[in-house]
Amino acid sequence: MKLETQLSIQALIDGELSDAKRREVERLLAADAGAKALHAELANTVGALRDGELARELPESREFFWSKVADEIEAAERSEARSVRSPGAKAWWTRLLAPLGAAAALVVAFTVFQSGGPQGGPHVVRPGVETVADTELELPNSVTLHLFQEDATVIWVDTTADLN
Amino acid sequence: MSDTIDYSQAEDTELVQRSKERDMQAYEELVARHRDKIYARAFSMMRNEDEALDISQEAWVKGWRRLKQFHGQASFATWMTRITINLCLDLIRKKKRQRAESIEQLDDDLGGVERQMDVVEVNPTAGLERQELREKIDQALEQLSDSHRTAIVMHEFQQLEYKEIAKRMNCSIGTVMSRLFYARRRLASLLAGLRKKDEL
Repeated sequence: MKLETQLSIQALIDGELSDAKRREVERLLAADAGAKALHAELANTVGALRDGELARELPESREFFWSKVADEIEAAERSEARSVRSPGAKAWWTRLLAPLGAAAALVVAFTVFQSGGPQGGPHVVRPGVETVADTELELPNSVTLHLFQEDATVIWVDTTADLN
Repeated sequence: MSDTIDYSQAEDTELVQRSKERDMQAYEELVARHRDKIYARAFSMMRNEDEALDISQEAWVKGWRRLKQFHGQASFATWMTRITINLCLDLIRKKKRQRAESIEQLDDDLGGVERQMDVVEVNPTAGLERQELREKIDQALEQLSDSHRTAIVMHEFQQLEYKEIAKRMNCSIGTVMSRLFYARRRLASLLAGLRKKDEL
C-alpha cells in the first residue's frame, strides 16, 4: 500500500479529509482488507491515547514551588523596570550632549577667533603642533610654530600682508 | 478589588481577572490549581523530571507576564499548556542543535520503516483499566523520539490539528502526518509488546 494511501486512512480517523476524499477512502476500506486492518490498528491506538496522559504530581510543595515562581516574577519585573528606566536616562544624557557639544564648539571657535592669527585672522592649532609664540623673531605678520613630534620649528610669514 | 474574596472558592475567570490587576494571591491560587497538569504535560514531552520542573516554573512566570494577552478564547489551563508546549519545543530544539541535529529532520528519514511493520490485529489495550492503560501508554511514549512524541502529545493530548502542529513544530503538514503515522504504529507495536510481556 502506498504511503499516501496509508496517510489518507490516518487522516480519515483524524477528521482531516475533505468530503470527496473521505468517501474515496471509505470505498477503499470496504474493498481492501489490508487497508481495513490498518484503519483498525490506528483507530485502536487513537482510542487508547484519548484521555491517555498519565497524571503526575509536581514533586514540590505548593509553598516551595510558588516561592520560586514568585521570586522569578519579581526578578523579571525588576529587570524589566530597569530596562524601561535605562533608555530614558540615556536619552536625558544624550539630549544634553548635543547642546553642550555645540556650546563648547562655539566657545572654542570664539576663543580661537579672539586670540587671532596674523592680522587678527583665524589661528588654527593642529594636534602635534604647538604655537611657541607669535612674532617670536619679531617679524611682522608671522607665526612661529614648534613641531614637537618632528622636533622642528616653522616660521609662517604672511606674504600677502603689507610689510610696511 | 475586595479583600474578602475566598480565593480557593473563586472561579478561574475571576482569579485570572484579579491576576491581570496584579493580584499575586489570585495567581498563586491558579498556580496551585493547575501546576500538576502543567508539570505532567512538560514531563510527557521532555521525559525528564528536572527539565519538566524548570519548564513548569518558567511557564508560570511567562504566564504572569503575558496575562494581558489572554482573552479567554480557551480555558486558562489550555492557554497555560500551550505556553508550556512552546517552552518544551524551544528546549527540544536547543538540545537538538547542541547535538548538531535538526528536529525537522529527526527520524523522518527512516526509509518507510513504519510502512513495513506488521499490522497489530488484536487491540493491545482492550480490557485494560484506564489507569493501567495510561501507565502502559506512558511507558510506550518513553520509547519514542522527541519529534514523534511531540507530535502525539500535541495531537492527542492537546487536540491540535495538523496545521497547528506544523506551525508549532516548524515543519510541513506532510511531515506532521508522517510523524504521527510512525508514532502511532510504533505505539501500537510497543503496547502489544508490553501486553505480551504481562501475559508471560
